[in-house]
Amino acid sequence: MNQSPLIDIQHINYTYPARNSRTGELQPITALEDVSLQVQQGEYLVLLGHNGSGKSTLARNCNALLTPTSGRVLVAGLDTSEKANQRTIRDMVGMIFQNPDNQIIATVVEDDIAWALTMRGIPLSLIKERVSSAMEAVSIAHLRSLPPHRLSGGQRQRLAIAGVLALRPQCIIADEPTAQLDPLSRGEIVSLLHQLNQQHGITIIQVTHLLEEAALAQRIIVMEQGKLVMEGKPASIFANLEQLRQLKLAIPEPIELAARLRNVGIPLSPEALTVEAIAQEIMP
Amino acid sequence: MKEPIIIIKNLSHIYQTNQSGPLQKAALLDINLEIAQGSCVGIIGITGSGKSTLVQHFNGLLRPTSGTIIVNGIDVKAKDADLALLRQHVGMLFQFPESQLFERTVYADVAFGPQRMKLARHEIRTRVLNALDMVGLPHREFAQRPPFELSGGQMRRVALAGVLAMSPAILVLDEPTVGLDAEGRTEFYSYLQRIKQEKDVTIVLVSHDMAEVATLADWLFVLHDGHMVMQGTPRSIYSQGDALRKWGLAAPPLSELLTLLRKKGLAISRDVFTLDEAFSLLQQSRVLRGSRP
Amino acid sequence: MFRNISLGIYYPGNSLLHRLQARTKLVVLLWLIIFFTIANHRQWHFAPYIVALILLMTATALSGISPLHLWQRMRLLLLFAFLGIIPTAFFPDPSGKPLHTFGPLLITYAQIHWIIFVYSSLLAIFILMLMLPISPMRSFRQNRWLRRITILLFLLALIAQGFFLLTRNAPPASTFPIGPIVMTYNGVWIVMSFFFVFLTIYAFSLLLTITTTPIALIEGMTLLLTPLRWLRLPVDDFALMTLIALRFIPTLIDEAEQLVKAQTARGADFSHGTIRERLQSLASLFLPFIQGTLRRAAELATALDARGYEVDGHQTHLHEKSLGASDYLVLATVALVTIGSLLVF
Repeated sequence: MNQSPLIDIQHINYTYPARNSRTGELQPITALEDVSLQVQQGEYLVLLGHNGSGKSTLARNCNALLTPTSGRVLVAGLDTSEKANQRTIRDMVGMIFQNPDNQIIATVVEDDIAWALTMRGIPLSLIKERVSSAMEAVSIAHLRSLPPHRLSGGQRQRLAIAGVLALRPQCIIADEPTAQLDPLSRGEIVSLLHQLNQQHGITIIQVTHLLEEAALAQRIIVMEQGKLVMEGKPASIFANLEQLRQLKLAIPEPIELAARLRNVGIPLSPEALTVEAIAQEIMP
Repeated sequence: MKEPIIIIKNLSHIYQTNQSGPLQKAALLDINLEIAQGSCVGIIGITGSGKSTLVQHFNGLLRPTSGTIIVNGIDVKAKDADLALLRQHVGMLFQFPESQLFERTVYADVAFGPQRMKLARHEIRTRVLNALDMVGLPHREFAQRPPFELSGGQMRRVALAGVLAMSPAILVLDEPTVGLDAEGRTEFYSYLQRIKQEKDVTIVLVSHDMAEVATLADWLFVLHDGHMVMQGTPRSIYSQGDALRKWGLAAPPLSELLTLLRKKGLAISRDVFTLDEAFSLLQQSRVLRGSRP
Repeated sequence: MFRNISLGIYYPGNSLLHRLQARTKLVVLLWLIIFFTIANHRQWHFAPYIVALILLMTATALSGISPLHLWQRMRLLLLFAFLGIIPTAFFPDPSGKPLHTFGPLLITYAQIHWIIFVYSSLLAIFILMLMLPISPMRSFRQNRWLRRITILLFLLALIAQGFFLLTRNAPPASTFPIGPIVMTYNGVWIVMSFFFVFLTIYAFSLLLTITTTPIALIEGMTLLLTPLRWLRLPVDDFALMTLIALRFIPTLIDEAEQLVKAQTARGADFSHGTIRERLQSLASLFLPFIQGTLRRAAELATALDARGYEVDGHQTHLHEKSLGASDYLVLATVALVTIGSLLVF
């Protein structure tokens, strides 16, 4: 890569004291161990791993919500551990969270999107413009005057995305945004993230434990016990189903089917990772 | 088929809103269904379809506006219905049940339900310890720990134990695995399987995720907009992907794949449903077609 | 229509009152409170109160809200306030001019003792009857209101017995005066003025919340509290807290309802059972609710951090703009009229 990476993670460790769930004792937990990673501008990266593998911790080190115990993280050249940089970093790297409710603070949809902008003293006319375009980008303009409790889970996540978009970030980190949504809403959110990546060039880091959500990524990083254990394009990652199973990840049945068919000699392209692609391979 | 343990006829539930007149919201309209004893059924629908409203009639949290519902012999609509007894027969776990734990130790929280049933001390103790073992939390290790030290998945199982300790005849679980990862999900379902086999409980799973209930349920009811729109075995329901999509639901990915293949002209009988069945069918058919070596 | 608005007490509309800035309305309300405090010192001058009433009627007319609706909102609280203030008319005030005196009622100690004796005997018989295990008595015992009244009567009997003990040595013929109860001019004035002030201020604040969105109110308050910011008080944090509280009220209500259902399904009963059981049932609501709210607060704090929450007093306001002609007009009118009424007579 010629240009410098947007997020440069250099040999970071992250430890914190927590209660061991089996013995009840307080002990230091190593959430990240010697992690190095570079995220390029415009990339669609998926952090894959089961609960507790460290993927959320890693994600939160990328926008200075957490700072590493050792090593350093540079976002567009700025060190995350310096407090003076934090606001700029968080403007550049936005984040949406798993619980759709606990990231919305205003009483009305359009006020929530505008909220972060009002904090920065941006003039009202510019705010209105940005709020409109953010609502268009995520298709919730028809909900603009509603209070958040009248929105569905998927709509609330889209509202959260709009709130982040209004700040014109370079990167959006989505920390398991679909974990509490139904299957159709899940698909909608993932499509939206891809759309933002392709049409607006926004770098996306998606944290998930679902393989099917990682299928369309440009690059997948698999984590286990705070370490990066696999890295590569989806096709090469999905070729190692046994290893993924050992990492406690659920294999979607279509992928499993395709793998079994390949094993008995039926040639299906390893690039076929979605239901449509696999169907196309089986019956062209 | 065993005797039905829940019989619902023409049940409707209409919410009275504060405004006067015709501004009434119908949550359920004219539902008819029967659930056989010892079976495991899934009630599927998107948020707002009425599935939560429906199951809340099973233990008397809601009463029907019209129609009848008989649960384990008790008429829920009757004025003198013994709701306390009904709630001993019907154990219900809501979404994110770990948020309802409050006692100082796991034992005390699981004992909450049995204590309300006015059982003897030793009886309560037996039930609590059995329930904890049944959900994979060996009582020697976990009974005296505070619930909040446990992981989310473990706390959820404590909540399940709390319901099991009441020895219900019917177990209703609302979105039991939402927020859990693959391992947590498989674990939870393995315990449910065990409960189903060992205790002969009737299990009702409420979910918006069809794939989730595929392994466990014998029969599915699909709700949409307060109406029951489909019912049948998972096998028959899942093959109707287009209809499901109309109601905001997605069939499991494998069924979607098979539907796509059928559309492309591959002859797949509607009976094919599990991964193994699909694999053997496709393996044979490709070999028969004699395409590439 | 109401469910669309955050708290259900705001009615969207386009009346003059709706179009005024929140600051203007807040300032008018504050001024009226000060105005009444000043007016109260001059007793028996009715002008300020009449003027306030006229202002109230004008404001109601200008707001597009029907007076009947306003009355429906207010009547319960007004009734309580009225009942509560009446006793002050009889408050002993040695300096006041008495309006009317309800003369002292003289009872001899002998009569009092006799009354206590009869009352206690009757109560004892009543309680004994209740304890009989025959079925009409059983249904009496089940009735919890009856139990509560019985306990009250029993306490009263205890107090009466105490009184008896204290006064048993008094000579039977001497008298014990009850009263006199004096109603003073001062007392009557206080009742009238208080009631009037209560009515007016309550009505005005209702009009305020009906015609102003919660967010505009918060922004208006924040702007008015600007001087406190110079004293380094966390005015903006306060505004955010209010906004978050308003936003989460419906969500928390849903969560509480869900929790009640979940615990009821486990057999928790809040209205039957022993005191200990009921307290346990209540604990099964309180503790998880508070924990859930704290967890929610922690997640929300993280989300706010991620969105770059930092206040430096230079926020843009979404709803409050600069004061317009109507604002100045209203402020001027109110000021003139109220000050005028103070100076007249």
